[in-house]
Amino acid sequence: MTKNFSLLTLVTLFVFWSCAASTEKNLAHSFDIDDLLTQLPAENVIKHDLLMQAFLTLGEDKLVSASRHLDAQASDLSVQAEYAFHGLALYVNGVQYKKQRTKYLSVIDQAVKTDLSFKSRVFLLEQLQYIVDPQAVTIAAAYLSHAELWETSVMVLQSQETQRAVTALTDALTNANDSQKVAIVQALEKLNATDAAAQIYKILPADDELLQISALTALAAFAYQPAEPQILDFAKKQEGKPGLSLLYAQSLLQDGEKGKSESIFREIFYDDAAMFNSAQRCAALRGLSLCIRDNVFADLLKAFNDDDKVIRITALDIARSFAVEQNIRTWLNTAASKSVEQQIEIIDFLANIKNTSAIPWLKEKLNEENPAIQVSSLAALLKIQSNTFDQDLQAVLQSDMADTLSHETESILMQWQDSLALRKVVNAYDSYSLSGKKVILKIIAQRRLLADAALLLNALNSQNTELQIVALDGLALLELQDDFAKIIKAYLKTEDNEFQQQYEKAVMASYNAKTHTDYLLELFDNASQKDKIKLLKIFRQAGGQKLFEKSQQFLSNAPDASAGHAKDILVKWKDENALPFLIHIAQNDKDKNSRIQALRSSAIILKDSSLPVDEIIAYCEILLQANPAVSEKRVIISIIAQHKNNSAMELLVKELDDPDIGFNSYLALLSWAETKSADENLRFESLITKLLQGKIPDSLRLQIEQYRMEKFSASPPEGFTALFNGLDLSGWKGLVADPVKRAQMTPQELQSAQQKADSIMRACWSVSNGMLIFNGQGFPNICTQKDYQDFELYVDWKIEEDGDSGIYLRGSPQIQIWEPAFNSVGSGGLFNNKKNSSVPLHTADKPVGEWNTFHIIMKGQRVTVFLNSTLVVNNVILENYWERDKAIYSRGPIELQAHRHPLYFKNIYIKELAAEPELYSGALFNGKDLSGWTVINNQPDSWQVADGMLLCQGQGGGWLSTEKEYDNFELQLEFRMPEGGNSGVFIRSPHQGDPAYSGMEIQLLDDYSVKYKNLKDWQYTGSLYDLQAPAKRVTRKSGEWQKITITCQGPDIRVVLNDEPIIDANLADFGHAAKKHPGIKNRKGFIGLQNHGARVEFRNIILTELP
Amino acid sequence: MNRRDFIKGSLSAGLFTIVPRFVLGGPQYMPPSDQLTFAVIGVGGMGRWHVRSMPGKLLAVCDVDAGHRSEALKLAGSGVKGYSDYRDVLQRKDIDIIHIATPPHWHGIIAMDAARAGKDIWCEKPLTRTIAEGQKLVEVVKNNATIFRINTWFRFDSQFYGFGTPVKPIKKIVENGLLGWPLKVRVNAKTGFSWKFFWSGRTQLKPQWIPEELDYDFWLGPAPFKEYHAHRVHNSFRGYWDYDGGGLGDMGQHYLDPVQYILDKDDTSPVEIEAEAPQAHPDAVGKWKRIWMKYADGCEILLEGQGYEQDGPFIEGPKGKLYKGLKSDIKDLEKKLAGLPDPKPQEKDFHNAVRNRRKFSLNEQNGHRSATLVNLAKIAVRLGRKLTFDPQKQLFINDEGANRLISQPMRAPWHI
Repeated sequence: MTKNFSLLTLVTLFVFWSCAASTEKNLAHSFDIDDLLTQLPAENVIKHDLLMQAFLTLGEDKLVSASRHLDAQASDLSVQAEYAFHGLALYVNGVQYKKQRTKYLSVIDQAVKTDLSFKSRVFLLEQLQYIVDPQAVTIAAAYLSHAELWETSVMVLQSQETQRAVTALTDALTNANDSQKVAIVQALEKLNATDAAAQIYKILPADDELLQISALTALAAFAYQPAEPQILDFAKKQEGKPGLSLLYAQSLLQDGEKGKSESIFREIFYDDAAMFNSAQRCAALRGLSLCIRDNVFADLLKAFNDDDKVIRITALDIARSFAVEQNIRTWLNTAASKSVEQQIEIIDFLANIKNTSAIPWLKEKLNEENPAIQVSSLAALLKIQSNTFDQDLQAVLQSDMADTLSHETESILMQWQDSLALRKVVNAYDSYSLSGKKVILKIIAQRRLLADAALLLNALNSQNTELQIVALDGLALLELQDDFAKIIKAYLKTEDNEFQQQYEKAVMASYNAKTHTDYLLELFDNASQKDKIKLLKIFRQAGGQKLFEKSQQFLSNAPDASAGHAKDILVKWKDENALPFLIHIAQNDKDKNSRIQALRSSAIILKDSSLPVDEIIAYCEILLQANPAVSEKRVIISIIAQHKNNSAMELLVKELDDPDIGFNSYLALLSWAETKSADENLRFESLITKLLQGKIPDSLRLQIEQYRMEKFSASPPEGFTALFNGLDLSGWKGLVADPVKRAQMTPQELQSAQQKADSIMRACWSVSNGMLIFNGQGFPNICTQKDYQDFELYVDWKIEEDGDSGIYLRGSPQIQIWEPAFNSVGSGGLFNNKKNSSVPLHTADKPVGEWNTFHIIMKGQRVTVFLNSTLVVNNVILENYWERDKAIYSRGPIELQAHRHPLYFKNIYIKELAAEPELYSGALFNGKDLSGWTVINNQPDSWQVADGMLLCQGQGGGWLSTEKEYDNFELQLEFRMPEGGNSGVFIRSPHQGDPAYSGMEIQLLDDYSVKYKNLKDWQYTGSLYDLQAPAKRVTRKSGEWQKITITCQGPDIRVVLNDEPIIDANLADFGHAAKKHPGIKNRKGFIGLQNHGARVEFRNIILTELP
Repeated sequence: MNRRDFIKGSLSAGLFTIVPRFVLGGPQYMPPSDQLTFAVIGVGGMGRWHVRSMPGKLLAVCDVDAGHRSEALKLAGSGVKGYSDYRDVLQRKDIDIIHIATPPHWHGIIAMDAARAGKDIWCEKPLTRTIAEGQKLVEVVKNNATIFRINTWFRFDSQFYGFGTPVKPIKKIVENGLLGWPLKVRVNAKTGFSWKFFWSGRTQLKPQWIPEELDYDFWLGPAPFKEYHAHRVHNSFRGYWDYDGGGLGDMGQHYLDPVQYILDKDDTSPVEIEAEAPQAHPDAVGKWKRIWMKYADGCEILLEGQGYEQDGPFIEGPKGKLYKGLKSDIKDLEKKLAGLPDPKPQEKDFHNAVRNRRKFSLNEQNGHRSATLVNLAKIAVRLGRKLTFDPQKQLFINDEGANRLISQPMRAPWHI
């Protein structure tokens, strides 16, 4: 486990919970704020609320100081602090928490005023948007003109729908700059702050175009009439925003100013139509309709003449709401002179208003030639639900329209809920056209209108083959057992092979073995020779013992001509009753085709047979002996492979000898094994091993070996080698004790322990299908025979539910593998670390049962882990679990941990890395000469060594550079300034350009000299020159030795001057200065000392390289 | 309302619908060569799928990332122009339909601008990132006579994930009262509704340099400013509340829209919502275990994130239960089903709807209602407390704090 809920805190929380508010004061001292923070994020709402209550018992000062954690560099509790301050913001909103809310707001107020980073202050301020309290407005409003925080402040106030927020925003407008004004105006618009209109109006005219538009938009939304000329002018301007006048008119309408808005809507729709798109004109027409309501009809009628369909449809849509009844006649008259498309639009409109007075007109339209008009009219009649609709539909079905409209009429009848009316339509079947009849027959079947099934039966006798087919398809759906005799009689009446398949389906759908077998037998006895053959085809489908016996009897007594037919039919019999017969044919029949067919049928029957498994296998064995063709043999092998018992397995093993299907048998065995558990995989694997050693044809052995090589053997990526070959356990051994105990063993002891460990390991670990599998018994770890030092490792792993495992590196635990659902974090963490992080950065596990991929890099003591391509461990030290006081061993095996649950591994690849060159650590300056240094841009003698010190002579400028480049390091040195002196330390600098800009400079200066009294903060000693000022001034006087430590690690630059941290910078924060300071992007360069015309002394220059 | 009233209601509301096969756009029929034209805004992974697979004639692609843009242009072939500002695309008079495949925090703004510019819209799910944006979008689409579709389809097409069957037979069973009323629906990870928890955010992101090809400020748009990190944007933005809501944002509307349809809730929303989840981070989206919602008539939806009840029913009522693959405890369900009337057919062809100026089957109204389920679920996960919702006003009841998540502030100059 990773995060231990401190027992003390837990107990305190529960005491706190049960004692409630009365003891709040007494308990306040019991909580340690850091301890509370470590409990976050809360696992559930109960714990969340308890924790939030606990936080709120703490003093304001403590909570304010907790905000320090938000600054990432300062704390490893920063995420927890985010959870805390956000959680509290959501929590204190309840009415009952007035007191707590006041406290929280006061904490935010104070914390935002501290010197936290910009990001953290934004975060704290943002929390106010969730809080419903006037005080939140006051706090946020204080930052409306703040140079950095104004944007957040405006956003917070956008959520606060109070007069206080409006007043604050309005007040801030006066002194704001243009972008601030835009934001404020938009916020006021969102808050619908009509009171602010006069203030916003004062902005006009604005030079800034965005501000001008924002102000006009807000004024239009407020329907602020003094701004009307400006709004309408701007809307009409070239490059203007025509939508503004629309917005203004809509707002006027909302304010009840109908007259004014009407005229603007009219201008948009008529006079200025060219300026507006159809969407805007539609909106204007809708607006107009809301102004003048029923009187809008004339406008709508005009709009319906528009070339633009969008306008026409909108006009009709609006027409649905105003004076509908009075105007229907006009619409109908209009339609007469219009295009087909417009007629359809009107028809749709009539459908939508559902007015019955249009019905006669629509009925006429049904007879139009244009099918689109017909469809629409029919749809309209449907929607209106004329009470004669069933008659209308009948009319359609009677006419030729039924053909064009068959899809639609079918769809209608499928939805029909009124079953009486539906029957009425169906009952008029005789009067329908051919297409109409087809529709009805389909509907009877699909709606299961059993009472009308007679129509299907009658259709069988119709002269029309289309109807017959529809009827047969329908009967196949309906299962009309009572009508079995009728259907089969119709069948016998047909010519040979006419609709044979459809008939067989229809007959079989109505067949019931219990009631119809005897009838069939009787029918058969009385049938002609020709009908008997036809009936046999049905018998074959129906199956069953009696029918089979009858068929067999017929076959044996039939005249030759019929017997041939009969046999052809019977060899396709479909149930087990025929098996002995079929197998007999397959073994003995003279005719090859019959043998093949009988064999196939047998195989089909056996495939789905419910016979006892051993019987099926026995039949298969017989069939295999009947000398089937290769393709049949394969079918039989596949049948055997379905039945995964011992006799099946034995038969497959036996068939391995067959040159035709030996390999198929092997594959069958393999597929059988793949579905099995780890344990059964093991059994399969041992069988294969035996096989490969035993007597099987050489060709098959080769084939199998080749197959296994291709399918399972490892194919490592370039530069990697496989630790596991996919085929066997070579390269792996059992684990003996632990490194400490192993070191204490004599060689003899170790050897015998190793033998024992190997045998335990081999009992539990196996290889199958390219996987290294642990069967879940006990804890026997498996490990590589070789030891490794630095390496990159890929390994795919899979666990089952509750599974647990780990990868040991250099013989030490471990990179954790487990099920995230039960452990609050996912896999990949260095679980046994105590000082360094033991949890993964993210949960990146795939669901249990799926494969995961680790990509592990171990260099020196540090480990990096990617899980499924997500970084979960970033260069963290792996501690020595076995000997806590020591660093991790430098070499050791890679181990896979076994933990009582089945495990699966594959694709284990390693690339050994050359051990990293030891990082340099020591003196850069030897105290004797300038070896290791080089002078840039000056005479070599400008730098000298005296009394173990490095002296800058102070003439000529330039700088002294290291010969080597460094990327990450800690540089410590001592320096002494003369009065008024100036120098600096260059870091990550190239030899070209001004190193203060092409690289970076940490300033060294006599800060107290009068000549520097007007310098900027970022020019004093310790500053990251021109980029960041020291946090405080801790420089000593000139003439005193001072100590400075500069740490560069990736983007992080830290400076400690005279034991006080003064710079903690992230270079990414200086993106704004990247042009002037290209050097901040360097991640590597020379270290140098500046000659700035002063005699400066240096000593004890110590460099430690960092990874 | 009981089941019987419901059926009566639907009877009077219009018994039949037909979706004519005819295309009624032109004076007679629309010739096939006369294709509708479209542009795709946002051409990351999803947008490039629109570029490759959508009907009509593509004329423009737009992205604030020059890399995405050139990838899409390569895919699109000749005659397609690239843009970095969607407002320039909206100016073009020759484009009929705007496809929106940006991250969700942009959906509302772009859709409203497109509607006002007279374009029809095919918008990726989830419809909008907040409920208030969706509400406003419905109004703007209506006012501007826009034809709108949300890009999900399971209510009228395809097998519906963990139900193991298309939606149509389920709708038919429910509509005809075979299960009784009210109903309880489970959308269960274990049966096949993956909640894609890999769309999780990360905390403590160290700021990174903004890649030169990306206009990050435009990408953020209305979202609050946060320093750039590659994980905030392409392919992983769903892990941050500012832009979306994890797997709920990605799959939620796919999964929940058909449920709204089955329960006949297209014009309403749940009244109670509660989530079981660990405390949510303010920025990074995390995981949840269960989300429960209840409608006024007692129907319930349960979203199961971890997957309980592998063999449980996915929908159950007082009279019967349905299991995956339409298995049921109702006898002869298949036969009973055959005799029943079909549900109303639905328009499946968006271009047909555009040409005929008819509402598409998945439009801004029902799309907003199903996106509301997603947004309610997100809010419940973020707040942890049980919430009561008023589906008419579309506000939480007696919880002003929760209402702060219904409408969230936008960074100027972006606003709706």
